[in-house]
Amino acid sequence: MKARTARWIAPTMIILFIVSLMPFFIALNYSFRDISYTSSRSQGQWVGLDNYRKALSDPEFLHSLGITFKFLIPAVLFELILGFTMAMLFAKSNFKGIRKLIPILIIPTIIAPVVIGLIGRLSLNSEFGVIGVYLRKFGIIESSILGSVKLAMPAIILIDIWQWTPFVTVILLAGFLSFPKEPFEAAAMDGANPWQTFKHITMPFIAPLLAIVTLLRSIEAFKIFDKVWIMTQGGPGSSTQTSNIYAYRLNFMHWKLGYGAAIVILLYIVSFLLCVAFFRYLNREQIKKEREVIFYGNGSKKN
Amino acid sequence: MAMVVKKIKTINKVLIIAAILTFMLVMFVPYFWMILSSFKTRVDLLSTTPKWIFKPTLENFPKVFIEREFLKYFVNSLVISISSLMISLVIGVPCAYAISRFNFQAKGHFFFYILSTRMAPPVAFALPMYILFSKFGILGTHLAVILAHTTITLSFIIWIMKGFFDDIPIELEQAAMTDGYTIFGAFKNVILPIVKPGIVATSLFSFIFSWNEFLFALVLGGSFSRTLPAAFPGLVTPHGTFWAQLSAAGTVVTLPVIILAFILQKHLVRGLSFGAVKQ
Repeated sequence: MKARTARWIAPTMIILFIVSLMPFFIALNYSFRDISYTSSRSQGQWVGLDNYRKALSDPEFLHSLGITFKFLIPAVLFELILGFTMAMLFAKSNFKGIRKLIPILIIPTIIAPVVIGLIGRLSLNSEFGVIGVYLRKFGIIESSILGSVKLAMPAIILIDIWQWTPFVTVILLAGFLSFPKEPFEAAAMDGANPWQTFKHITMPFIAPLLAIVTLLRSIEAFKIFDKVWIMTQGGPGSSTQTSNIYAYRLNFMHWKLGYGAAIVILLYIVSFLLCVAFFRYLNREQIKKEREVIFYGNGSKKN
Repeated sequence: MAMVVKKIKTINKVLIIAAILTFMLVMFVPYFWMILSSFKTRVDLLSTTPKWIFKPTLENFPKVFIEREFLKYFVNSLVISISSLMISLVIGVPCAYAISRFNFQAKGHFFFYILSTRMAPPVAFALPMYILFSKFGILGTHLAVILAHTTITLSFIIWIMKGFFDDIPIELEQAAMTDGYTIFGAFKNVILPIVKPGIVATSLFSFIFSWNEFLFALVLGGSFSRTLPAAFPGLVTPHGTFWAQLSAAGTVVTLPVIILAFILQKHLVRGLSFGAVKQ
């Protein structure tokens, strides 16, 4: 690496070394040891892969992974379907001031997740909440929602859908609004029906955006902590204990640092894989775009 | 026939607008409910028939901000968000420029690594940072939270700013350099003024991310450096939950973000998609 480049990126490398690389290696080191602040026998002895072996056969950890995906899959799926539909309706409405509505629409996505959790508790409360009270009046629920093993997770999913559907809508709407008109006009002239137009023109155009949104949402949903912590703290029982909540309990409530570090490294690996998928996809799209530029002869402006 | 088609079109249009209005309403009402709750007395808030109209009170705000010291946490939040933003800006913008313009070994890997610091669950970093910062002796200080927040703000700034630099034709610097500028001179005097709106937007976004962050602030900050979001669990006590005060704090912590959302209008898509979608 040339000295010139080094000067531009060195400060970033130093900070990332402190806040990212060092913590990673500390976690890695701890994950091979038996360390616990609450047990006098665990003094940091080297135990090799024992913590990992334990993790992969720990029913509570495996259960928490299951809970994570029980949350992630329906939440992301509903957000995509609802967001896609709304984005299409927004685009269809041909309403000129549509962009002016976006800052209001985006409120749930952009405010602190802690507040989202608070709003969830405030509105779902069956004694005085604006949603909960009516659910109880109509006999849909009998008592507390967040205190119920059966209903707590659906409630968290519902709140997540409320929080993130605007995000999906806004990103996809940007895509719909940037569509070129010509292919649609050509399709209409050729007498294509709405379904054919949707399948052969709309979908191919929106697919790359849909992929990006899906990946971003999955990465973000895998990180979920704040909302759950405020709404249920993982309870009742362990019915909403996602793996992040489990890791937090292990590390910061039971202080089992060695075992907790192994769990943390495993979570890191999952999110790393999701991140690789996102990065690969972006690069592929980038290469495609550059090829298009050359193909259409629009001139390439970059080195 | 033409009349029928036209009628169907009008009905369609009305349905679409109705759907959009319903959607907007559903998205807005729960938030509005919290704002209303922040102006309610305990009795009004806990009423078993949700009250839309009531005699508003301001008592919750001084209660939570003065008596419960949320004012202090508000200042902490400001100090921490602005500091982590400033650090990330000063070191991140040149780094983004280098990634956009220079070729160096393992550039792709470096760029990916920066992204991965942002995408990992905070829980995964909170534990080792806790250990590291306690070794440094800075656990519970503002600095600990500021450093933790740079994992969020720095990677964001580098990713977004690289996109903004990519949009500028390289001929600009080439022309500036034939005029006798050094690379740094061209960067400072030619490129930075062009990307200034981008830098402002990116900064406001980073500010929001740090402002909203919860877990790092909860684990790494102490009572002395607690941020607003990290103070929320303190109002849920064994003696009961202080709903009205929580709502008042929620109203105040979200207000700046919503104002920023209006300022950021044009850049929302780019910022929220981590630069992956340019509008």
